[in-house]
Amino acid sequence: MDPQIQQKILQFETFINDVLKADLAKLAEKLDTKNADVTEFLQLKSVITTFQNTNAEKIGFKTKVDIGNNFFIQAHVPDASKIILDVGLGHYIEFTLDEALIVINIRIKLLEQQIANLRKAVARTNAHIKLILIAIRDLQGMRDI
Amino acid sequence: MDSSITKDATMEPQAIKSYQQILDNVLAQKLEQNEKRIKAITDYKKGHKKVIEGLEAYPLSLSENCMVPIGKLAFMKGKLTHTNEILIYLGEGYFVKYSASQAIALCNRRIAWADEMLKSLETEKNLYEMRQYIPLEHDVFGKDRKDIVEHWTENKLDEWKVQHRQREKEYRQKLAKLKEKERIDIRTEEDLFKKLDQLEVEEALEDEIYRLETERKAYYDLKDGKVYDESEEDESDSDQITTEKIQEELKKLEDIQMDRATSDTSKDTNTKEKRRISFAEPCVIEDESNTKEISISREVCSALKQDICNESSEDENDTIRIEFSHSSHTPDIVESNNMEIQSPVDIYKMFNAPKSILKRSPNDMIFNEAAPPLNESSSTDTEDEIEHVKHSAYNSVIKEIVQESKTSPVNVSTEKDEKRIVSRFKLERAGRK
Repeated sequence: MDPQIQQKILQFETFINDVLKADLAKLAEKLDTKNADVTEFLQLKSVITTFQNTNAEKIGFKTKVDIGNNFFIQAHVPDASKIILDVGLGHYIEFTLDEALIVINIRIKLLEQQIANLRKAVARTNAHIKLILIAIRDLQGMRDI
Repeated sequence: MDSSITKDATMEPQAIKSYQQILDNVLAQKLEQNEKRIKAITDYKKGHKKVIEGLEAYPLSLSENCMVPIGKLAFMKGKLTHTNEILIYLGEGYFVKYSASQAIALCNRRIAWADEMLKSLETEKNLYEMRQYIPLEHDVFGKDRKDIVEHWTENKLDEWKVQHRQREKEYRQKLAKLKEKERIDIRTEEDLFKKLDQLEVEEALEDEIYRLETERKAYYDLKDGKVYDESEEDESDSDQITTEKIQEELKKLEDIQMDRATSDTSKDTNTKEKRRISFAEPCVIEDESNTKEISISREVCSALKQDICNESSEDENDTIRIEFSHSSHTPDIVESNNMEIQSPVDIYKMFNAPKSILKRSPNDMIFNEAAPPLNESSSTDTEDEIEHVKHSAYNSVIKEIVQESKTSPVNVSTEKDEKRIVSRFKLERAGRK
């Protein structure tokens, strides 16, 4: 085989392994965090709707608070009409439950868009990898297997 | 089986390298895991410490304002109630309800466990690091390393086993015999005494040998001194080449040596005695033993040395050999009183008693008494000689040497004799009998 081609093949392979696969891993990680966020928001949304549906909003409720390492202490929330929400970058804003729901919906939409983008990026890198693999196969002269 | 072993033995360096790499990788991985676990457990410990802090604070008040988390992203304002009732998750879906102090105790237990774990993890880490480090240090994977291979077949092993068993048997038998012997030996009191006696005799013999050795040394010293004198004599007699001065000197010396007894006889011996004695290195002996050396002695020595060279060139070995030939003339020697040594003959008379090497030499005590203290003798001698002859110093030196060599070894031997006390045990036995 031509030594130049061999060199090229080597270069392609290193590109796949060192660049594309690393990119893919990064994207996958990001996607995971975004998905986790979405699930969090969804959970919060369901909790808020249950508050609204039951009369917890008015009379408050009891719960257990984790004080670390699965040590729980009972807590009582007298006023469940207001909720403090994390809006990012370490800032929290107090909302009423309805307001909170709106914010959460917007956030979920945003996250879903981001997730779609990430999925596309993942698909693109996968396509790149596939393409280079095909190119390598061509270079090695193994067509149409 | 054999072939596989040989294959291993002649492993290629590349294979070794790959193995080394695998080993390194494994160790690195293990270390990484170890580090992770250490970190996790330290975190666990820290968390429990914080929990303890909280548990110490919360029960102090009946209720505490707090933000109740609802999920990760939201909080609600609330209050902690029942601060002394703590629900603890034990794992596997089990919870336990504790009071605050009980919870703190649990935390402490968990912290203790964490400490233990950390300790063992530390040892594990050390182990892995050691394993990583030792091959590097001792160059285990060096190029010219070879496996230690011992070819060993089943048959051989069996043979060896049989042999080993036999040898072991023999050894046991020997041991048993020895034990038996010992038991017989010291069964009765008599046997015990016999053995002790035997040991004592051995000890005595050893002492005797040691003493004899020292005595022999002394004897040689004495001889040397004496011989020296005599050689002086025949030097003066036979050697015609020596200068007149020296001859005169020597004559005078001899006079003194004969100790003013009868000058006639001494002269007679001088002229007629034909003894030829030569020995290896008189000068050296003189130098060593004497610090007050005189020029005359040197000259004589040199003359003598020539003589020695002529006569006994074959005697150049390191053993001191004395060769002499008796003349036909029998010297008529003056009778001297027993107590004083005037000529070498007297010495012989005094100490001629033949002795067994095992017996204590009889002359020890006598001589010790006879020999005056060293310093005194030399001083008196010199005084005497000054009176008689001018060049007396030389003679004094000679005499001193003689006396020194006589006294010193004897002293040693007597001291030893005094030290050699009969054992208390023996005395006791004698007393009993």
